[in-house]
Amino acid sequence: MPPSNSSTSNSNLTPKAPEVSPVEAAKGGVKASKSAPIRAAWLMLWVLIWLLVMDIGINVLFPYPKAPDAKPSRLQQYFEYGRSTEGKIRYMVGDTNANTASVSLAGWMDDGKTRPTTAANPDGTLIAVYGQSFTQHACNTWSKQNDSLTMRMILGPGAPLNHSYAMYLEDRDKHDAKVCVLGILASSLPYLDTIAGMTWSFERPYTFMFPRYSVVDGKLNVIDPTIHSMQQFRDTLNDPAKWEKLISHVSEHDAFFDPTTFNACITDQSAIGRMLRRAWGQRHMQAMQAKYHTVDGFNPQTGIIDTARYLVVDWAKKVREDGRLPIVYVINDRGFADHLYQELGDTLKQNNIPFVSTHEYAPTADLANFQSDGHFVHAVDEITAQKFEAIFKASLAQE
Amino acid sequence: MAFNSIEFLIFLPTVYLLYRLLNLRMQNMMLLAASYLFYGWWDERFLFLIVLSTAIDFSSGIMIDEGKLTRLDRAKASAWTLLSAIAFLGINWQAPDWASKFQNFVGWQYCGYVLLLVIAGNALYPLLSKLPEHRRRGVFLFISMAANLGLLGFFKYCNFFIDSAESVITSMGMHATDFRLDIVLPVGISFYTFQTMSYTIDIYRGHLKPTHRFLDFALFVSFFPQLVAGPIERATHLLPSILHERRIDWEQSSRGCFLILMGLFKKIGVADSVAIAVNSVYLTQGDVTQLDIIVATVLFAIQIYCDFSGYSDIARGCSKIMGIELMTNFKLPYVSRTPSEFWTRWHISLSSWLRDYLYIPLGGNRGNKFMVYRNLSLTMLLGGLWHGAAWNFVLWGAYQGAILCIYRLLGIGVRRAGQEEIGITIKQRILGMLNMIFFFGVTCYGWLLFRAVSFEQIVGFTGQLLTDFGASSMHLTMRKPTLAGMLGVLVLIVYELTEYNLKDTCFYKRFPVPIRAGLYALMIFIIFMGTSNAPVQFIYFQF
Repeated sequence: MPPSNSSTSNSNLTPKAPEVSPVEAAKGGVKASKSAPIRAAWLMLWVLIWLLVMDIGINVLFPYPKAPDAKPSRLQQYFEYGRSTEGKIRYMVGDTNANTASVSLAGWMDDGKTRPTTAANPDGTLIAVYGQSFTQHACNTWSKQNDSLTMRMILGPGAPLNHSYAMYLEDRDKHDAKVCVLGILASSLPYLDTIAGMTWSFERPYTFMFPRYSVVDGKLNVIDPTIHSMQQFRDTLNDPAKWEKLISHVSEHDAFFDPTTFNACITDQSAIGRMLRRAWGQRHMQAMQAKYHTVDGFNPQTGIIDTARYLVVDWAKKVREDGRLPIVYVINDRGFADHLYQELGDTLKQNNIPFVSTHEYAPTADLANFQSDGHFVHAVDEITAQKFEAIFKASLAQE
Repeated sequence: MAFNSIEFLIFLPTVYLLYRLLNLRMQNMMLLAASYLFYGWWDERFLFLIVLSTAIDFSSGIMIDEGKLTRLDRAKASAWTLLSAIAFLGINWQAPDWASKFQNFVGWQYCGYVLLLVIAGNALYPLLSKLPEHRRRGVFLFISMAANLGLLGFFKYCNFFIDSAESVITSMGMHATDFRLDIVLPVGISFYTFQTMSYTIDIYRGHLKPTHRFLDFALFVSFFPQLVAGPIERATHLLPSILHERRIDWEQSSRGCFLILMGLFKKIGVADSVAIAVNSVYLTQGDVTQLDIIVATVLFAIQIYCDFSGYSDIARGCSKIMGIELMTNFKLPYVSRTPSEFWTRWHISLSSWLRDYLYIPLGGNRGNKFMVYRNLSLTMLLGGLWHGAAWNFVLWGAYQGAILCIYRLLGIGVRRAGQEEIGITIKQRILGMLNMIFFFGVTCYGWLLFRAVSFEQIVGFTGQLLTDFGASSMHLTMRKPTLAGMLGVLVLIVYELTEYNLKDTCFYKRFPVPIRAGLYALMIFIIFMGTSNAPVQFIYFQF
């Protein structure tokens, strides 16, 4: 607020002169020069040269290490995020599991891990766990609280319910677990409309694939991913015809597939091209997430809620048929309030399926419940583990 | 439509190409249609408010100055008001099919009210036009003020005052019924209502003659570059550019393009890139350290400056390439050494508006010291409230008023933007820099009040700043700005310090072409880096 009483108003109704640099003023003000278009073109050419120099400079100074499990610097990572999904997969997946990035192996049954088929302790219990890292953290904490438990984990990074359901069907005859835990992550619910981790994990793609389910006239419709193991995936990747066929299948049946972010092309070689693709990829993911979830909850018109309810009831039925105790872990992660519980809570209660929902003791509004990477802090996992234990004990008491 | 959206990337070149192909009259009509499209992209219903405000101020302006409206003027104002009510309230453009677009009972009800309003206005006209001149001028000024402030008060402040009254009643131990209204805040309402008010006030004061060109006046009210977040233009400045033939030359176009580039660099490259770090402190419910608060607040000072001045730069640039000059809204505000200097550098269009239409009418610098302090405090308090219907903005306004009074009381010299520093000694220069740094700290505390999400946060953060001096307070736990943000801040500081030292806003034109191109390329590169941040809405859209 200037301490002046002077008013700026005047009644001069002629347009004001444009601002002029003192240098130009000294030269006699703004004048349209005949050579102005040529100077502008010259300037544009120089801008393009500079951008080219920067692009090449980034590629030279921050080359991404090609070894699958190499630890790139933050700057190397920064300029690499926008490479196409296919481009990244091609250097993450090697000829064998040994030279394949561990993140690419995750989510496949043939990931090279040895899983227990029976409890380590003769008096103990084997727990079969299907889900993702949230479920892994909670169940690891549970096994620390109760050392008679042995965990058999079939997980995938951010694995959606369709992956976990399919994994149980594939795994049900291979162990003698008494209890089965199914972790359902709120942020992964939209991926029920996908068949591959590659389509929704653009910056660091997961290769694992799984069926897409949908409920049509009360019956479960299944779209098979056509690839069921890491080895099959590897073979397909190295065979151009098979790879093209797979991409065609994914683009037809995966709602999150986006050719701009997926397909490798010349822009992978350009730092600027990669940055722009990263921006595109983020906007694509935001648009897709917005289609499935808003601040008010999940969009029921997409059909994923009906599918999720069907799958969870059917999973519990199959687990019980196998003589096991089903426990559903409802994970309401950051940004999703209690929306997953809102959609599944009644179904779980009506079908008498034991469940633990994090919204009761770790509300998403309280950021103190979360680590910086989005996972729950250990204290939350402790509570989850206690709740699993309480359900397990109650089940034993009933027996 | 936002300046940093893909839609605008298509919109601006299309408008510009059409503009270059048309003559003045058609240019203005096309710009008006483009401006309505630009605004209607958010919510077409609120276009009715703009047309209503336009019609009222168009009529009031003529009545104040000339005392009578021709039939044609009345017909224009009435027809536009009714047609806009039908188009923007009656028809529900969001409905899926044409049949249901017209089945909008509530909307047609509003159209009925608008029809009644238009009939009442026309019926009252013969009576009002016969009033004595001084009364007629006062009545029409009142109508204009009441309409604009009424719109602003209802849409922006209604729920704020209801909530505040409820809190007072509840705190007195009485039961308050929940009376909150479901009101959506129209984007940019504070900007265009202030702009149209200045038109009628200037006519009332005899500084301006009213225009009889309704469409040109409508363009003045809704000109898309500055419609939703300013600069708040004066009719004396913008209207002549709209009414007269415009000249576009290469220098103007080149400067316009540079301003658009600079605006996008500030917004996408800097503001959005540091927002992540700021939010990690101000939106967390966990513990933060003293250093977190300091760094986040300094970063917010950078964010809000780049966000808002970036918008102004893009607005000026878009306008300039079409040969229309908008006022400069920011002049390196963080080099200020006193609050009065700050307000000649920050949001200049608002501060000069408040000065001309509030501070001076209140008495300005006239009268005794107490009156001057009262005028300053009141002006800044209302300036704070202008920003938003929340108590932290009121508190921020009160704080600005208080520091203006304190600096004045202490007799700390008044320096203004552009004031030359000739013949000063090195000691004075160092002292000046220390003053600058100190005042930046003072400004930053104001931003803490502005950014805080609750009164408890203000108290908590202030307490931590004043008392928490343990070793743990110096740890940084917040999220770091992105690489684009850090690089962008560095480039911006170097750029602005050079501009300040050379005292030339177009200093880059002195450089040889390769160096100048290097600067542009660097800014473009940082914008590309920033595009991968989640897009953040311009902060001032909410005002």
